[in-house]
Amino acid sequence: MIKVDMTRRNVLALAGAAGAGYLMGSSAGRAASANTLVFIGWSHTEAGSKPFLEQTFEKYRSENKDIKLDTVGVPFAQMETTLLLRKRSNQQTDVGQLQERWLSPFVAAGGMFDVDEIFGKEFIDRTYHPSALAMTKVNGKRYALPWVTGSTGLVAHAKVLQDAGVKEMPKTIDAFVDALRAVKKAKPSSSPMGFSTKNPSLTQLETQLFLWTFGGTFFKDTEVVVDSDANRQALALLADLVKEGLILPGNDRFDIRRLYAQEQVAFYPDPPLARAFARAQSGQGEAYDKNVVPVAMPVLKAGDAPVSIQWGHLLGFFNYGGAKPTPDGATGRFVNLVSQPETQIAYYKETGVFPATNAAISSLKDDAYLTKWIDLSSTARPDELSSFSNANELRTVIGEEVAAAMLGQKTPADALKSMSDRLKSIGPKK
Amino acid sequence: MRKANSLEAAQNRFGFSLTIPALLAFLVLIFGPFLRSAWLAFHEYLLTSTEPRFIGFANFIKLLSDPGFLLSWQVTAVFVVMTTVVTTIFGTAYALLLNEPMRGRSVIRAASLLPWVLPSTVTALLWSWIYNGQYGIINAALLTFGLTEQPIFFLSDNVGAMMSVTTAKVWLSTPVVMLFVLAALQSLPQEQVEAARIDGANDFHVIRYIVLPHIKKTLGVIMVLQAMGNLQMFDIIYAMTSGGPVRATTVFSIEVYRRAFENWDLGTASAVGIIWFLTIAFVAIPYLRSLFKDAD
Repeated sequence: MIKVDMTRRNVLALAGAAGAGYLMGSSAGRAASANTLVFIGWSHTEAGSKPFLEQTFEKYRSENKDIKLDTVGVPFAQMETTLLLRKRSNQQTDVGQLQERWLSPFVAAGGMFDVDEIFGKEFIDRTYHPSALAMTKVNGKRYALPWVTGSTGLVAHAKVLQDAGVKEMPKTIDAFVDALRAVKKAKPSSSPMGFSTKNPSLTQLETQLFLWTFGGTFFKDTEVVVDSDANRQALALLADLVKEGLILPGNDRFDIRRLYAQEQVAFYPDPPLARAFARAQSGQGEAYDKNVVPVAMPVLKAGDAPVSIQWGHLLGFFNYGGAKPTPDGATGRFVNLVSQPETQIAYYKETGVFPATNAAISSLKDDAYLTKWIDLSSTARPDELSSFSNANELRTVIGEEVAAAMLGQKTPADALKSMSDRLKSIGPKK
Repeated sequence: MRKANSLEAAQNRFGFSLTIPALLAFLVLIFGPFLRSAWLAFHEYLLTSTEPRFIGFANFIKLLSDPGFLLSWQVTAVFVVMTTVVTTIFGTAYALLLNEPMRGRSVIRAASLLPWVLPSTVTALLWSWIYNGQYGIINAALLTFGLTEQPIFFLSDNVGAMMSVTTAKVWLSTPVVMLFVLAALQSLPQEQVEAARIDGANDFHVIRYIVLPHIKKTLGVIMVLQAMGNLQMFDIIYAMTSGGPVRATTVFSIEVYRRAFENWDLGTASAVGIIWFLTIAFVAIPYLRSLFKDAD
């Protein structure tokens, strides 16, 4: 039998030693973090972009043996919350992937570096395309670097339309509805238009395309203007599409991408990475590209400009428990790698997301998918909520009320009235 | 006498010292966060804020004047009552069935526990596919037998979504209720049943006048425990409907999650948590009182 004689003094000494050991260990951990780069994002968890991004991370590791690159993958829907929780717990986060519309709330939360101060205004202006840089500004300062760019517009399925006898892409809303009806007739199980009714955040974003087409908006600066005739018409159209079975409810964009690859969707809103998902989920790879056609959002009457929403992935630099980034340090080297023309071009070729750098864009000027999409993006507008620091709360309200109208729980007029009241009571905050 | 008292005091001290680890765990892991949550409920505190700001009862006033929140109270009540009652009925009926002598009874009893041992997210996915509007087996059957011309989007309809999450929860919990009732049935004196049979009692009479009175206490405990568990249900509902369509399955747990992690409003989420706690306490206190009464 083992006998241990422990006095209270022994116990206290042991506890003291353990505490000192813990403190020494954690300070050693902090010192080590100078040579560790923590990247957090969602694209490297998704089927379409995972292989390429993992190769890129491996390249970084092999070129920078003195730096430990930790990559943290988070599902898209959890990304914002995870980043905020890392901020609150001061967990080291050096570089983070951001959707362009999330930048304003993160800047408002604090802890983001001004990229002009770190990488230099001249380098940034010289390297990145001005349209991409426009997405990185909040209150006159640039808080992120563009990684990939594009717009959220309409993607058509060439084969589904061809099978339904639709010979040309619809230009007006009337022609668009006719095309949807033709698809439904040819394939009764299909959802001719793919629209997110399950995820309030995506519902808000996609509804915007229809509201703008009819001349409506959610806000005029910070004034709530949702209860308008234009918006009532747009929402009535969406509700009618559900009633007619032209939009099948209960899906979000991730479901719709799968249905699109199974030839059950003729049109749906998506950014350029639609092609990557179609390749991965059809199981046919690049052979499926011929079906993925970017089209202009139909207009109310001939001559109107088709609408689309600015879209991009940004790289934000966070002061969450790490070291201040420098152009030639771990973070700077990461930026250099992902902004190199060959990396950007390869990323585009693998997934279809557009490069954000001048050099890469100019070397791809003969690519039909890219030039077509860039042409369609010429009238792209920023998401209306992206400038508000409480965008999430507003988005949930809009998404819920739109879904209520589309699922027949409220009339479009009632849903807009209720949306207006709720948005006014919350109040958009800059 | 004095010696006996001091012995009792020493025993009490020893007994209390044995509870210290559990008490510490309770204080640190449950009571501390609960107090913090109660404190936050009286503050305006966003996930993006640096410091909470005291606002008194404003969060509670905001919630109680929000039709969306009042609806989630109603949704929670419907979910809890339906799942508790239906699970108890099914579990009891199933236990009575499995209490009868039959071939392979032990295998059936063991296999019946399968829904209970499956992870709840697996259950949720399973039922989501069964109810799926385009590929679900229910729609396939309805369309094949000509019972409907168009598929029914159960998860996009208020009643359909509630029915779906309730079914999934009932399927998951029925084996537990069955197990409790089956255990209670083992102590049922067979002489009583035989005597009743000799006096001409049929199956219904035996269940009504002998079995149910015998398992009444067990059923009471099961119902209270289930109601408390169902009041806290999150995973199945979130995985199947995320609280939708719109707010049709937004129970308290989903409401807290949405406010804290989607709207980033920790103050209001904490206020929902307090109201939620009071609601659970309303169910739990009578149960705990009866438990302590029995112990005395």
